[in-house]
Amino acid sequence: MEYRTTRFSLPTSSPSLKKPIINSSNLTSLSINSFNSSYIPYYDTYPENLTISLELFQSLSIERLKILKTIEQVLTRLNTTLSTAPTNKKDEIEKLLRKELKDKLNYLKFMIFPSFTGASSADLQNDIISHYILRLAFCPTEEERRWFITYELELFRYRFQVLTKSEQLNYLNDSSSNIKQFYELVTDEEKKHYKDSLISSMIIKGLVNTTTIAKSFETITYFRVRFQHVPDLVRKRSCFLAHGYAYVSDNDIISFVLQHFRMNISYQMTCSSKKYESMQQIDTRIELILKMLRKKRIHGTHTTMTAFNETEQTETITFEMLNGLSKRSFPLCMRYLHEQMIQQHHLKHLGRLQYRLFLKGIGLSLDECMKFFRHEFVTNGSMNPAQFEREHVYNIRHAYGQEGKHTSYTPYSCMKIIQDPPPGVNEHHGCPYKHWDSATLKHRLAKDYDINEETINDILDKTKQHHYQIACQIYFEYQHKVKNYGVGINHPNQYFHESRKLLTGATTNQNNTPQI
Amino acid sequence: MSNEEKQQDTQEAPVTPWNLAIYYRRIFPSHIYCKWLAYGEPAACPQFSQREFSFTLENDVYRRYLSFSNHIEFEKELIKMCPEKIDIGAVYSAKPKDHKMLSTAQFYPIERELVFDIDMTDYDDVRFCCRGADICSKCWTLMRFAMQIIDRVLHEDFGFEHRLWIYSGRRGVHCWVSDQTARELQSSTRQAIVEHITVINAGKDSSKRVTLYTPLHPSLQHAREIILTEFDGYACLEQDFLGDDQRIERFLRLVPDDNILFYIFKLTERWAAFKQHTDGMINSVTATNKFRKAAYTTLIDEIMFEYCYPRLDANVTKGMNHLLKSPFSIHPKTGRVSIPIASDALPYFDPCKEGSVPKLSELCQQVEQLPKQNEDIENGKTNIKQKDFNQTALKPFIDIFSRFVQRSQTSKQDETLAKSDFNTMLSGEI
Repeated sequence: MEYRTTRFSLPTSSPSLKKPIINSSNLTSLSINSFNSSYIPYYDTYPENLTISLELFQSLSIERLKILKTIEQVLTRLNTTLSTAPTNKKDEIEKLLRKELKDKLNYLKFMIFPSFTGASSADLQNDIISHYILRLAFCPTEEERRWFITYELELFRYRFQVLTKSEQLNYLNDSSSNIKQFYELVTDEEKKHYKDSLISSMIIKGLVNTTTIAKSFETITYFRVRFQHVPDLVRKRSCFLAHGYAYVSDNDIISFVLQHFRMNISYQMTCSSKKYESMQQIDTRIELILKMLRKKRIHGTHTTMTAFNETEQTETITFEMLNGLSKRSFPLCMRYLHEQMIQQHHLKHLGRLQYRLFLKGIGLSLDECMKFFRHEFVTNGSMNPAQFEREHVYNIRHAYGQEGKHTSYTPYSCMKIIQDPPPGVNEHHGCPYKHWDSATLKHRLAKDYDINEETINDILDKTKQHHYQIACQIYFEYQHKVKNYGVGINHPNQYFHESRKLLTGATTNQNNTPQI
Repeated sequence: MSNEEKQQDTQEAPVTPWNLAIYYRRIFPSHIYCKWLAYGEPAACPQFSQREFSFTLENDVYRRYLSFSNHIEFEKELIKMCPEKIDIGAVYSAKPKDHKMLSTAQFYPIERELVFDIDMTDYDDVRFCCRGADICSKCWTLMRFAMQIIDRVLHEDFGFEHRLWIYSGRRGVHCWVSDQTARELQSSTRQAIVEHITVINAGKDSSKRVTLYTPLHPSLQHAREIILTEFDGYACLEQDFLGDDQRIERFLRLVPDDNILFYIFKLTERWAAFKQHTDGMINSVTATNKFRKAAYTTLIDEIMFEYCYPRLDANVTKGMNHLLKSPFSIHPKTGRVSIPIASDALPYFDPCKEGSVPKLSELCQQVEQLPKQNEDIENGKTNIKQKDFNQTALKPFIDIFSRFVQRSQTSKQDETLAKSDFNTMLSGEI
């Protein structure tokens, strides 16, 4: 049954799945705002009736994927995002990005290294085509869509920040885009009326001085937008709100532009994914390229193992082995969860989720996992068997994909564990380096885990700089008595695999089958 | 059985299956209730038929993903299943009762009131009169602060017109924002709203949890004004928040330097003396001591916020598919009805006042005492039900609810026009 589908319809052509047949004379059909000498297209119209060669199709898409993956790596390494980083760190990110991509780009070079003369129409065409090829490649699953959108947004932000204020205004004012209908300029009269409120809304975390703001207030242009369109500013309480509208200064307007961009792609890719499912066949040559792109996204480099192949286990693990393993091969987050489980014979919900999926990931079978939980909760703990049956059996089976949606859930990555809600009272999940205060961390590392002072100081140092995963790596190196091991820790299960590799000399099979 | 004996009975078990059966057959306002959830559409509209209900039956049996094709079926099932508690979930892309046959691509929440849940237990570290599930008129002031502050934000800042405040029946309040724009918000935007409102950083029990900067954001300035109206009377007299050493110790955690002098302040004037001391610090500290000065500038506000600012259960607001106890559901532990609070009564409402919240047993007694002709309801199907609740203590609350439902339906058309384009951008979250 259709449920008011018109609600979300966009006044743009709907995305289709035609192979882009490109004819250069037809370029006017793309919304390129080249007149404004701007570098960024709106990506709100699907390229149609254009023809390109298969080679170009492939190289454009690989090049764009390279850009996105580089952004991902740089941000992971610095453990930040462009939207949250303070200004000085932003410069660092941009510098690093340019360094990494130097001499590696051809068709899309202008996106990262804009020139004074602006972009040619051929440049912009390549930009748009490559964007849409990746959209197509990454629309099928939610995880791929999320990944693509995240890094496209970061790329967009990078490019938008390079523009001057007047170029940014031109971008907003371009009649070929629908963005214009979503904001209004605040009149001088209204600005005067709300002056005090507007000024008080701009002070975030005491970074800006009131008197400087009052001085520059006159020169600021304000935009009036629906509050839904600037969730970032609403969240940080850094815009003035009245009657459902947010008053956004030209310094912050990027939030609005990005949200517009996000909404558009997000919606259109969801639509595409539905069509993709029903598509019987795409041209096999195209399909091969798309598959290759999906594979490259996951296995392109070391640092981005986002998924684990559960069949690559070399040891059979039983629940009796967990005590030993937890000491030798578990990252601190899991080791601590395990110990809490053994000591208290119980874990709260979020701790169970985090730990259970990790156990699944290291190859503990459903039966063993069930035994383990029953052993702790019922045999050693005080839970009565009936309650265990009622409340936990289903959940454990569910995690293994045996109940409900029958999805086999992926173990949590470091990113997820770090960003998820912090542990509350009597909860033990989360990332120790992020969620424990440094006194607790220091105490436990020294007392419970017998780690030497020098290493502890190293770890504390990194956590203070918010490099949680690097702190984890130091712990890893200490536990395995290796130095500069060179594998970034980004997943508790990856930690475990690396550990087993070192300790048992087992080689894990790197030729994973693609996850499609 | 004398009246007194009856009362004893009801005190022992605030909720009995027998009473619930009477309540659902003769008192529960199903008609208006279903009209609310249909939002001006016909009774069998997707808004209603694809809405998830959850019933809690005897012995804590939860039945999730219930759905009813129209108000007649709803009422029939309600009387048949006689739930101890009713929860309302989201409107889904398909009928929730079919969810087992559908994939996640086919079954996902599409609409949900913007809801807030404020629970008194979250305030345990700043109230000294009660703990846990207990409440009294003294600590209820915190809920009145919360309702006024959040209601103002929702109305004046976010522009929401249709806000229904509900007393949960025990120790908290809920708010249901029913504007169409609110119902269509994505969960990330809901989260942004929660964070916009949130000032108290949870989790850090030991240290100071509120940090403010001058000038305050306009929204917080308003909150401050609301708290100021009652702060001295509430904190100093009712809670006596500086009354003994333990409380003073808790208080001193918020103060940048331990002020031993504080202990010798005269008992009745500690807060006033402290404010004076702070003023002195702000004005006297020399330029070399900038940091201390900065710490003192916002200190009084931070303390007031720490003790009085609303504490939200963020997860309830964030998740579209989160369940929330329904208005007019009975609280299983207290037997009290979850009643609406009139919007102009937010600053005064007090559930601890005798007779302010109807109890299930009382309502049942009231209908049982009605003249005979109303009792053969099983045969009659006309307006008897309406008549019954009109003659109980629930009537004023049903009136509040009806007015709310009425208003949210008349403005539906204007709203549809106003929002037209904006939602094109608020499309499928991913």
